[in-house]
Amino acid sequence: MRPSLPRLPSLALLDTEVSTRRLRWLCVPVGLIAAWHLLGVVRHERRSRDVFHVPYRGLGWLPDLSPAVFTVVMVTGLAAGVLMAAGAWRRVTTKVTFAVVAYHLALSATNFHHNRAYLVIVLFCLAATPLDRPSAPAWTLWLLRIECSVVYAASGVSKLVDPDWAGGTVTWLRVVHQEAQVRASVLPGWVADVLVDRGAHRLIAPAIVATELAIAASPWFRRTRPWALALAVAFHVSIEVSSRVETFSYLAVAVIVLIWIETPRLTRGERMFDTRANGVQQPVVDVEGTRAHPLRPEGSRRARPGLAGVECRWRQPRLGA
Amino acid sequence: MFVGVLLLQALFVVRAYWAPHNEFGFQMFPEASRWQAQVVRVTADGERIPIDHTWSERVTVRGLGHPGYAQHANNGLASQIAFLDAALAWVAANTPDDHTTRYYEATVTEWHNADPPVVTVLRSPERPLP
Repeated sequence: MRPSLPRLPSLALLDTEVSTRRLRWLCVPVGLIAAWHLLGVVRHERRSRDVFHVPYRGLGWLPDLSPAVFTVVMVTGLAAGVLMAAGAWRRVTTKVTFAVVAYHLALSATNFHHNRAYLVIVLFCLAATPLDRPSAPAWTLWLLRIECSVVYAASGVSKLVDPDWAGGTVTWLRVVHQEAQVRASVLPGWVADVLVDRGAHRLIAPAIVATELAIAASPWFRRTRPWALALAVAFHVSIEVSSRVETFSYLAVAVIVLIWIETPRLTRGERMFDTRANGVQQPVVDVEGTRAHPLRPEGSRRARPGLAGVECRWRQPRLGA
Repeated sequence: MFVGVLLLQALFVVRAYWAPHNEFGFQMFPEASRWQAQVVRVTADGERIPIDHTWSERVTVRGLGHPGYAQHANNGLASQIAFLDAALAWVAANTPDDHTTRYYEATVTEWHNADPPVVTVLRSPERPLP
């Protein structure tokens, strides 16, 4: 008797319709963060083409706007971000916000920051989703989940392969360079002593790398998901306290929590697909949770979570069926 | 679209290991490196004049406006030095009213993490003078 191999979900999973509830909720913090970012651009970068900037090769076709027109474009994006957060015309406002934030990022290499790149990715996923509908193809949610993990994995791996980072030199020097501020902060004296100690960073740095890798991988498993979200929140609070990273902490926490957390308000309508014996996924309940096709209790085994917690209910075909 | 975006993302992540600004590579807090530069403009007769407020009015980003004191290289030394090099060239090319400067030059001291300091000299392209 041949052993049965576990069945992997096919790429057809990407086209299945899932509730847009999570992404609609995500519009609130992301719209506000985009608006906050563009407000800073309006206030400080109106003369951007008159000061040092580095256009990207291949993007020279982007219009180099006069200060007045540039301001109008940025204010339009800002307004779209606010409207997106307020839930107004999301299908349009997400696209406008994405276009304006991406345009600003693409104008000059000097505009590049990791938090802005992540904001563009998140806005792309939202703009590509028909958020005015209760359900949409799942691929944007999957993409956002993968990108969320990529951010932490890429950061963690780059530190892991760097001996200066993994060995604690980088974190130790960052503290030493700011020792006066560390000692003047609210931290107790013994904590400051530990932070400026070279030996402590032989443990602190690997712990940071492990944390990033854990946040990248853990949300994909139901058992570790709650711990991953709690770890991510704690991690970003510590970053926000210790570093200046623009809106990255708020964006990262909003994204990882809203795309992964399992609460009835967000997951209602995600348990809605059933794999019949012929392998074709059939809707079981509609996106708002109303039963469209009753589950067949006689065929049900233990419900397996979908690969990424999309909460598909899989049903194993019976032998000989 | 889904696969295309992921392939592009993978490309950016790999590219970040050699591209100075590592766009979309998400190599955050990469170094504890510091840098400092003495920037001068060199005139046609060889005089070396330190930059003044007109430099900091034109170069406002990435800590380049006041390069004379040691600063943390936020996105790594390679990114910082590439920006400084580009800034020298940009200012040289965008000061049409300056009829005396032949080129800009920066003497840069780099401290890569805990390594000993390294001094390099960057120079803008020469400007045509009347």
